[in-house]
Amino acid sequence: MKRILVVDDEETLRMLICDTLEDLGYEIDGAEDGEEALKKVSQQSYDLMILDYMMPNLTGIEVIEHLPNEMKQTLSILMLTARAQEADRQVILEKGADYFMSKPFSPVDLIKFVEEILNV
Amino acid sequence: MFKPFPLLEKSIRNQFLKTLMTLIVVFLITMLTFFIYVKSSNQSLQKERDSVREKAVLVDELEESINEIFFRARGYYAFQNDQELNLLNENLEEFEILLGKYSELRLTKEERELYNELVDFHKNYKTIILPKAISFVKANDYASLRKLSNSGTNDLVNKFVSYTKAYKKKTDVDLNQIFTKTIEQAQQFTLIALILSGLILFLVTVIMWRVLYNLIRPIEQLTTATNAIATGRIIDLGGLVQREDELGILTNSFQNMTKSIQEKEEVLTTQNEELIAQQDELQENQSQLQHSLNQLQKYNQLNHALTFTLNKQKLVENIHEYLNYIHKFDTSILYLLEGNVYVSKGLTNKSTEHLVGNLDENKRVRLEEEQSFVITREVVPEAQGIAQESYYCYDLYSSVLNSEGQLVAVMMATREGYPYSNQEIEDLNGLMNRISIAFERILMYEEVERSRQLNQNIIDNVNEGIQLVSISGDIILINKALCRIIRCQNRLEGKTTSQQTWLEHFQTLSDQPEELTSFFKKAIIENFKDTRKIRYSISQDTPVFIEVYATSVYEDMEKVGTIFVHRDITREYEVDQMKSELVSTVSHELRTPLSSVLGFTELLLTKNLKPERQKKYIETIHKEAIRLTNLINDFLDIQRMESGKQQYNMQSLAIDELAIEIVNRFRHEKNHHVHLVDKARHINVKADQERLVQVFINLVGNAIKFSPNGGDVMISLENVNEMLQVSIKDEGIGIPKNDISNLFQKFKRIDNSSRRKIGGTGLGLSISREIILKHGGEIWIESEEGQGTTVYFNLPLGNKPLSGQTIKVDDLDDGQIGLNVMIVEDDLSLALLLSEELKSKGFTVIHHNDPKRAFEDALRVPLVGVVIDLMLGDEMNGWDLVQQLKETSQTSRIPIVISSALDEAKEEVEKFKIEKYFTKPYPPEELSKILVTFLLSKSSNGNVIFPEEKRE
Repeated sequence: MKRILVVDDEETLRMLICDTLEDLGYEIDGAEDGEEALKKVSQQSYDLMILDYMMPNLTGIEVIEHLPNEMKQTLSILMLTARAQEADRQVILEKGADYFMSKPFSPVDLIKFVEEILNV
Repeated sequence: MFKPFPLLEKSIRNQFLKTLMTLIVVFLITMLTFFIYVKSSNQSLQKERDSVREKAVLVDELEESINEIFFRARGYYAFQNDQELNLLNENLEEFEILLGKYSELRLTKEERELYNELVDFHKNYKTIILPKAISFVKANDYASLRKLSNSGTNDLVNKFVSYTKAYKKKTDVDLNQIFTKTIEQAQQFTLIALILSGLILFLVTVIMWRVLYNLIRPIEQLTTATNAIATGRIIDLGGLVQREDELGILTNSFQNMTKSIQEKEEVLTTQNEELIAQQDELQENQSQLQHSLNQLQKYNQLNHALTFTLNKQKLVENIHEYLNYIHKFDTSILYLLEGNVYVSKGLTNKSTEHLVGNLDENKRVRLEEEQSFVITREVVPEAQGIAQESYYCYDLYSSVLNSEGQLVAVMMATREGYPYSNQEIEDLNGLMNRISIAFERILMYEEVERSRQLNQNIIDNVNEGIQLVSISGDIILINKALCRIIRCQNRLEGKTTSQQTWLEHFQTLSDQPEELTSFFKKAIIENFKDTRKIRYSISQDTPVFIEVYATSVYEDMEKVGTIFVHRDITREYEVDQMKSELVSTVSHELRTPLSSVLGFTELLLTKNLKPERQKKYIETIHKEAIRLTNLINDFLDIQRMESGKQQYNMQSLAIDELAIEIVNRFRHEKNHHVHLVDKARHINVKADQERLVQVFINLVGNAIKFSPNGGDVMISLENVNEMLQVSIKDEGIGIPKNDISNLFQKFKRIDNSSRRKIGGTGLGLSISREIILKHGGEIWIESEEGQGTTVYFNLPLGNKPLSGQTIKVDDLDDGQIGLNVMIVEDDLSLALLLSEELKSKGFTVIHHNDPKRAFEDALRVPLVGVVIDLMLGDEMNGWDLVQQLKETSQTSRIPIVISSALDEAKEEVEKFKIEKYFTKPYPPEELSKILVTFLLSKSSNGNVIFPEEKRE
């Protein structure tokens, strides 16, 4: 069973993502900030991390930077962000995110995207 | 008569030579004569001595010879030896020779006789005696022999012998005599020589004296004559002229010379007189020239002043000095009609000041018409001074007129006794015209200078930095603003600055050296009609952003320079930055709730969900929609306020009512207890209620938001400095010191972990500030990180302080205990009513609607009394609070008043020793009365003790 970690400081959004991806055969975990996320990935292995960009303490990018290198090989990262400008997208992909999705997003699209990522 | 060598005969040299020669000759002759004489004397004496000696020798020889003869004769006689006879004969012969010699000598008479006898003897002896003797010998007849021997021969011999003896004696005497004579002679010679020498010396002296006399005397005469001529006398040199020697010639020449000198002297004297005359004339000319020169110099000075002086006073002084030099006034004054510029001579300050600006109208008109005129007046006797006779004074009036013929300056001057010539007046008028031009020049200069100064001021006071650069790139002008912007510290100011210098400055200063330099270079060189611009930034201290515009300056279609205008756009830039940040923030803030709305809606539409889920989603959607609305409202508010479109509906407002309302609004906060401490006696303000509520909600909302771990939020009202001061204090995370000043900037949120989580638009404080400022108040923040934050704002009071209160309990306050009354009441309108009443009496009211919080507060704050409503809520009612208060030692002595709609519960009242039980409704004054009695009560049921003397 694929494991997904949802990192977002907004509880509502976390709930939305988790609810969207439930019943699809994934094991879903939530983290409310970067620190918790890093703690969780160090304790357990995940296949996908859905990461918010604008978070207190550590931004999404900073979370990626703190990830151990070997983990980056196995862990796919989908960056969700409200910063939708093209420049941001570029920066985010350059900084090591594997996928990019802007807020607001369609849950249907998210499901498709996640399935695509995890089936590859 | 022709004299071939007159000098040879007459010359002094020849005379001298002749005399010398004569002298030498005389000397030589004398010496020679003397020498010969001495020599001959010596020779005669020598001869005499020699002859004496010769005679003596001869006499000796003769004696010897006789003796020999006799010896030989006796030998023969005795021995008859023929040899003896031969020797005898020889001796006789020898004797004869000797006699012959003797005879040759000079002989005295006696000697002559002796000689004759000797000759006789010899003859006799030879011829008679000897042959007889020989014969006797031969005959041996000795008797005859003896007889013969004694026959007289012996007499002769004896005679001779005595003679010789005598002669010898005589010879010695003679020799002595000769010697003595020789010595005497020598002495004589010496004497003669001495006399001769003396004589010669005397002669030489005489001759020398003569010669010298002959030579020196005329020279002395000549010297005297020269001296005489030098002093102008003439001495007759008659005697000398006659002489034919050198002195004669010299005297002649001298006389000729004297004559010629005398002639020339006359010529020279004439010439000299002429020269002296010429010199006098020259001197005269020179002094005239000197005078002219001085005048010229003064004139030059004046000209210089007229041309270059830009100071009116200086110019006036220069002109005045010049005029006085030329015209030699006794008293004079020169003044300008405008500007209090004047100069005077020979006048007291008082009269000068009187004269300036008090020009007689008639004179003024005359001056304008005639330019210059002279008034002649007789000096009044009092003013004559030491002068005996009366004389005239000449008052000169002269004017300087401008090009329009208006009087600009007036010159008044007086000369005593000396009238002005027409030439003088003419010169003066000419000068005045020139002065007029000079004044106009100064006026023009002042005008130009004023406008230049104005321009400079304008340029310097413009906010934009202005830089005028020549076509070659050098800075011609730079204003203060630019200096300030580019921090040039006068380095580029003043003189022209070369392109290289200022470009280098910009290169080191700006963050974009290359772009900026190439912009400058292009703008300087290229011809362009439009305006070009570029932005650069300076990152020293705080970053500054500057936009520089370049515009070409043309003169007659030809580019002469470039103007660069540097505009500090830091503020605009920051606003830009903030706006783009805002857009970013807004985008994020909007997208987040929108994501929820969109996502959950989609889930609702696409998924089959249980009804509870559906409800939960719909609630979430609703919540997020409200969040969106708030956000949008905030944006709109700030937008409206910024553009000044916000309308304020100002009305008189009781702030405590408002505050209680706010407390009520937040009563359901889970983790936060919002309560009110009302210490304000004057609560009326003029305000827009809606906006003020917005401020309260923002600030209390922030207080709650930024104390995520819960805690008290205390709203305090008090009067400070005639203002109503509100503070909202939380126990939250606080704000770092450095960030406090930035808090009121729009869109500013403190970037730390706890704050990011809190979210928000970052507009709340900006909006609040905007509103408070519009109300004439101030807003500020005190905070310490981790210790909580207090936001203060104040508002001007709306009406006069309330008056006519019956009791003012604050008079009783000793300043330490405070006059706090706690009201625990959930009915806000009643709480407000009560607190109004209590405050009007001077109490400070602390309002709580939550008994739990009320109790906590009671532990901290000293209280006069607690007013408790019994019906407070489910968790804890009034009696529970009473019980808690009474059971806690710290609060057990606080007087308690029950304010309830319920009937008095006697049991509890007694049980808890309740001071007063009010059944609603009751007049609020009753409450304050009872509280005052608590204050006054000596028997301190509460923990409030008052000094007796303060009682009323």
